[in-house]
Amino acid sequence: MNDRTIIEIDRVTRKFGDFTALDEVSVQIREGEFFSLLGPSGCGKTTLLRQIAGFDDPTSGSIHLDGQDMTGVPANRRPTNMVFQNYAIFPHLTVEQNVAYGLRRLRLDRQERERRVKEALARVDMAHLGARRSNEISGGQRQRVALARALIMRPKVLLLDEPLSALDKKLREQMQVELRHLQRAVGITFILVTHDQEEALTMSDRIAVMFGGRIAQCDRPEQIYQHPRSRAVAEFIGGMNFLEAAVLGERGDVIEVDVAGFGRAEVRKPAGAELNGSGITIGARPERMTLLFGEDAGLNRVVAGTVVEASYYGDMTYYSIAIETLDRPIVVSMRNTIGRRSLAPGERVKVGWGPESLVPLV
Amino acid sequence: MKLRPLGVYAFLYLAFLYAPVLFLPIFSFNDSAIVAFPLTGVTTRWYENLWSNDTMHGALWNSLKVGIASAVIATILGICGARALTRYRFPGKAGIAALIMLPLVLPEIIIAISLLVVLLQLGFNLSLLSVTLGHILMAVPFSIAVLSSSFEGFDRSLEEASLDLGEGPGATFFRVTLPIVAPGILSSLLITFTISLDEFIVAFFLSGTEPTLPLYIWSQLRFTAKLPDVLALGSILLLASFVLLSVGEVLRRRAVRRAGASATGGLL
Repeated sequence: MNDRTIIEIDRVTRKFGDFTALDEVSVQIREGEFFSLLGPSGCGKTTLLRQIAGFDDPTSGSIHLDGQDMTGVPANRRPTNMVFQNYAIFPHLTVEQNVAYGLRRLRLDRQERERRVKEALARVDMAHLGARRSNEISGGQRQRVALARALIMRPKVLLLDEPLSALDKKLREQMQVELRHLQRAVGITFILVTHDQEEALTMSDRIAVMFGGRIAQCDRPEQIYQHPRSRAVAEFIGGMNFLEAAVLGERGDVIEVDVAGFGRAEVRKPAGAELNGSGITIGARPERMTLLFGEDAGLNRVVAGTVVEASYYGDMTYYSIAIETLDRPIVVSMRNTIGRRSLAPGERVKVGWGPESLVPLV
Repeated sequence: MKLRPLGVYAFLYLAFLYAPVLFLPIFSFNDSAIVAFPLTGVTTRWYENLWSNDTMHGALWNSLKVGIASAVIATILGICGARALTRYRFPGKAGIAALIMLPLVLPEIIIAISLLVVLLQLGFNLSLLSVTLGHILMAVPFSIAVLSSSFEGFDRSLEEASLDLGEGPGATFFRVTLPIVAPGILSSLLITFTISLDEFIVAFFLSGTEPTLPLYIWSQLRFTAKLPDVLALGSILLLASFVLLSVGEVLRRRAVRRAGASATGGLL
C-alpha cells in the first residue's frame, strides 16, 4: 500500500426519483488498500460500488479512476472487476470457461490463455475442479471461481459486493482470512461492500461507515471502533453503553464531564463538537470497564451495582449491571479467564472504570 | 392395496380425457373399412395409402409452411413481449399483459370470424398468409407463457458480469444471454409450431384454396371409405404433437434450470 490515490470520488450524488441514494459522497481510496464500505441495507454502499464499476451513473459528481474521469465510460471499458453478491457464475460454462471468459478480448494465444487460467485457479485452490460445471460446485467454491474470474483480468481495482454473505459462519471466517491474504499477495486495491461490522473490522485497512447515502466516518478499524465520532457509528459497530453527562469545563481539547451514575472524568473533546454548555452523550464499550473480582485492573474509579443478567458466550460473559443512580443497566463484558467465577443475577459487584473507558459522542 | 378416493378419481378423470383419443390409433390398425368393434385383424394398409396420397401431401406441405412461419414469427414477438414483461416496469403493464394473453381464453370462432371480417375489409385475399397471421395471433400468448418462465429466472447480474469482464452488449447477448435462454426459445418454437399444426377453426375461416392438414382431414370425413385413412393420419398427427410438446416442455424446464430457478409453471 502506498499513498497514491487510485480512486477519487468527488461529491457523487445519485437520485432515484425522490429518493437520494447517495448524497454528495466524497472519498479517496489509496492504491493497494483494502477499503470497506460498511453500513445497514439501503445506506447506499452497493449503489456507490455500482457507480465505480460503471453499472450506474451519478446524477451529479464525478469518479476518477487512476487519474481518468470515468464519466460516461461503460463498465466493459473500466479497469475494475467485480465479485457479485450471488457470484454470477455463468451456468452454461465450466469452471475453466468461466475463469477464461474475459480473456477472449485480449487475443492471447492458446498456451498463454491456458497458463493464465491455471494460475488463476491455483491461486484460489480450485486447480483440480476446472472441468466441473458451475452447478456441480459448492457455494464456497463458486465464490473462489468468481474471484479467479475477476483477478485473471488484473484489474486496478477489485470490487466485492457482500461476497461472504451467502456462506455459513465457519466458511465465512475462513474466507475472510483468505481474502485478506489474497489481497496482500496480489497487491490490488480491494473495495468491499458489507453490512457485517466484524468482517469490515478484521479485513480492512480503512472503513467508510455509511448511513442514509452519506459517509458518517472514514478511518482505520481501530479508530472507528475506539473513537466512533457519532452515536450512530458507535451503535452500529460493536456493543456500547450510552451514558448522559454534564459538561463542567473545557480546557483546550480536553473537557471535564460529570457522567450520570459514574462521576467526574476528563475526556478528549470530540472533533467538531459544539458543546452548548449543558449535556453530552458518553459511550462506554463493555470491555473497556471491568468487574472487580479482587484483582487490581488499573482502573482507579469504582461504582457499585447489582448483576441483573448474565449472557454466557463461552470465551466471554456479558453482564447487565444495574447502577443505583441510572435508570437503565449498563453492559460490562468479562473474559472468562482461569480462576474467574461466573456471577449470578442478584450479586453485588463493583465496576471499575476510568477516563479511558469513555468516548464522548456528538 | 387400499383404494384411495382421490386415486380413483384421478384414474377416472384421465380415462375420460384420453380413452376416446386412444380409439384412433387402435382403429387405424384395424383391417376393416368399417370403424366399429369387433376388431377384425391387424393391417398397416391405411398408413401405406397415405404414402401415395398427393392431395394429403400438399396439405401437409401447406401445414409445415404455415407452422414454421407462425412459430418463428410468434416466437420473435414472444421474445420481445416476455423480455418486456419480465425485465421492465412501465405504466399499464398489467393491462397490456392481460390483453396479450387474452387469445388463450377467447373463443377461437370469435377470433376467426373477426379476423375474416377485418382481412376482407382490408382487401386481403384469403391464402396461407392469412392463416399464418391468424396462427401467429393464437400462438403468441403460448410463446410468452413459455419464454416468461425462462426469462423470469434469468439473473441479470450474469449480463453485468459479462460487461464487467470486458465484453460489450452485443457479445454479451451472444455469449451469455442467448445460450442460457436458447432452450426456452426452442421450446417456444416447438410448442407454437404444434399449435399451428393442430389448429382448425382459424384455418377453416381464413384459408383460401389451399387446405392445411386439419382442413384436409375435415374434408375427407364426408367419404366413409376414406375414414380409416383419416384415422391413420390422425394417429400420426397425435403422435407428432405429443412428441413435439414433450420435447418442448423438457427444453423449457432445462431453460428454467439453466437460469438458476426451479422448474414450475409452464404449460404442461
